[in-house]
Amino acid sequence: MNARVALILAFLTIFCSCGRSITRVTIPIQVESEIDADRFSSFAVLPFVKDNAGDMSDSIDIGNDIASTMRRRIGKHKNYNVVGSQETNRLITGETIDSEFLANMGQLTRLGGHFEVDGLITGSYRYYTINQPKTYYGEHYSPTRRQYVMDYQDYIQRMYILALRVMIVDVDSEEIMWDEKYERTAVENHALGSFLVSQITPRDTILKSLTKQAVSEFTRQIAPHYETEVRFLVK
Amino acid sequence: MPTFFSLCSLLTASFVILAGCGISHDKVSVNQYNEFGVRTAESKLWNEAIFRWNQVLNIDPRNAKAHNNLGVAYEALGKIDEAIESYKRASELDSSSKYYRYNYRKCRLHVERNKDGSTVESETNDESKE
Repeated sequence: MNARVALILAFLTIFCSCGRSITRVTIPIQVESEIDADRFSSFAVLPFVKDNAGDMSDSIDIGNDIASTMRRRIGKHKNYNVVGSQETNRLITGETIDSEFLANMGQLTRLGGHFEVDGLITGSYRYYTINQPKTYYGEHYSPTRRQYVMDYQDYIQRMYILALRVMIVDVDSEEIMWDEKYERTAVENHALGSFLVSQITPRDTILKSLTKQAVSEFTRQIAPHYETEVRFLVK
Repeated sequence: MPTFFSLCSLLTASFVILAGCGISHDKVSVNQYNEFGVRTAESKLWNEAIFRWNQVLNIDPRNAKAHNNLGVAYEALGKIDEAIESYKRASELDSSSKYYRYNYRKCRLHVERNKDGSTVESETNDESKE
């Protein structure tokens, strides 16, 4: 009996000490910019162009809002200087920023030279919603039948999608040195009543949130930043 | 004659006990320094932790735990070359530990990721110069 107790205690001691022998710590890891931060230090951000491809595009124009958010985010990084919103609006007065303008490299670099910056950030966006009828299947306990019974509920799922294309035009070499797409989605589930209400209420909050998420991903890629990673210390 | 033998045995026994005490004292110090280092590292006092783990290595240069932990501390302070060296030494000393291998692999991945970025940038620069 005593031997058995001693054996159990020994096992417990070993297991407890094994559990304590490792300590997880998070350490900061510096992630370098994906662009040459020494070469590109000043940027101008043009209003983003609405991409009207497809019939589902929403009628809201958020090109200027996206550009403002991007200016704010990039301006926070000490490595980069960004031309302010007022100065940008002043310098692009009279220019038509549309999809044809984006395709014309000569015009883009000329405008970049006018701004006296290393890189011109521009691009397009598409914001749209998809509504899908869905059914939720579940089960609940029925006290009268004394068994679980299946139930279902119809609802409408509304998906908000923001597809943002960001380009950085190298003003000196007259080349597009960055061209990436960022897609962000948000989902809302509605009963028929709340769905009808959601059709007429403004969706500013969702839109702002999607814009911030997409812009954040872009700025994280182009600016040096810190991420945290787990490492193991051994006792 | 029996007195001589008993004196010899007494001396031998004393020597063994003293030597044993010395070894166990070192072991205690190593464990204490290491655990103290871990505690300070948990509080993000990395320089203090490095000091403690270096003390461990002064006593026992082949202590894989101390090498691994030093690697973590160096990496946290951005001293990547020293971190790689320490992780490598820990993995060499104890290749069976999955934690040493994990830390070493992650650190190398991080270095390669940053190196790839700079390679792409320098290639782009070369192309634009041409």
